[in-house]
Amino acid sequence: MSAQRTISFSLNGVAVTASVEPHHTLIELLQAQFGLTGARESCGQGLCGCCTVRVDGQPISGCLYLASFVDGARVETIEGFDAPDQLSPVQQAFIETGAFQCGYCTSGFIIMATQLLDEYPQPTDDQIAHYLSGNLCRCAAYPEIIAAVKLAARKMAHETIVPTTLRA
Amino acid sequence: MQAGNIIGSGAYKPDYVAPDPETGLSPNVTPFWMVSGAGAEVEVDTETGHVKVAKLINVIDCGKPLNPKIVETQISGAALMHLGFTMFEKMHFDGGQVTNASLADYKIVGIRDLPGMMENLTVENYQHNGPFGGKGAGEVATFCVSPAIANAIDDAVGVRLTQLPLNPEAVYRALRAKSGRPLEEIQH
Repeated sequence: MSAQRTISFSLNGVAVTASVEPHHTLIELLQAQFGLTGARESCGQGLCGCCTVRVDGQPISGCLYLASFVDGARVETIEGFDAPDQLSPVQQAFIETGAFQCGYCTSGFIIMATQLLDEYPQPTDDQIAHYLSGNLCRCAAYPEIIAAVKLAARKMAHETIVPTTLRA
Repeated sequence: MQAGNIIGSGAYKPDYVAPDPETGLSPNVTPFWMVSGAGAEVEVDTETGHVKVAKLINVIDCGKPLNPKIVETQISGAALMHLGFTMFEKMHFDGGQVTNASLADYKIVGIRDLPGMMENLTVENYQHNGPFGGKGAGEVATFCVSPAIANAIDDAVGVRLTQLPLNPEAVYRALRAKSGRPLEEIQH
């Protein structure tokens, strides 16, 4: 049975429409119709975090989330996290601390780290572990990932402090 | 001022002789041997068998580290991956089929499984037949993690474990056996 349905949503700030079937997952939609491969399906069970994307500001597992659910929603993938000529502070921090080896899990970690820093700009070690415990890294770059989150927190604090200083 | 890219390319072919298909022998079976050492400090809960790795020190010989930061990450990652093999990762089989082939049933190392403290070091060396004196670093730090932790457990509570993983059940069974009150084996 094939019941095609047309949905409209915001994808990284751009209004888009897509034709989906009821069983399509968000990952299948992003990869097949929009060529966005930053979020990848790995375990297919919502356990590894590699498929993390944000829907209406909340991180979700793209491998479990049905595509038709994003009708009318705001979807953000890793491809939309950087400005045209500049990586986000979290992305830059991951590079500077060498927070990956193969890179397969990195997009999921960056989205969760961004979510953490949006909610807790100066996270404790326990908050970092709590937010990133749903993401798995087989290369085990966890110490470097923790360092990257802390560096990104400092970068983002600096960004907000500088304009204040200039105003004063 | 003019700007541009500097691009270079190079190749390194290790000296190596494939094993003879008849005899399995080779005069030079590997371009280099991997040498590493590890030390562990553990806390053992004798009521549950749970082992906490408080400190893990990893030292490898990778010749001359060509990119020291990446080498450090490689040592750390290799040791942490093997920490999972050592402490809890275990494949279960039923009639030759793996019965826990998913991340729900086979737990790998996550961010909450890190040792309390870790140091990752290299020894100064120069590999005579390697590029710029270097050699492989990738998995060198895996070998010594299991024996270091098993030795630390033996040192702490006097039980000698010779099979992986060193999970709470294995440690607790060994502790009970040592105290003369062994647990029954589970029939699979």
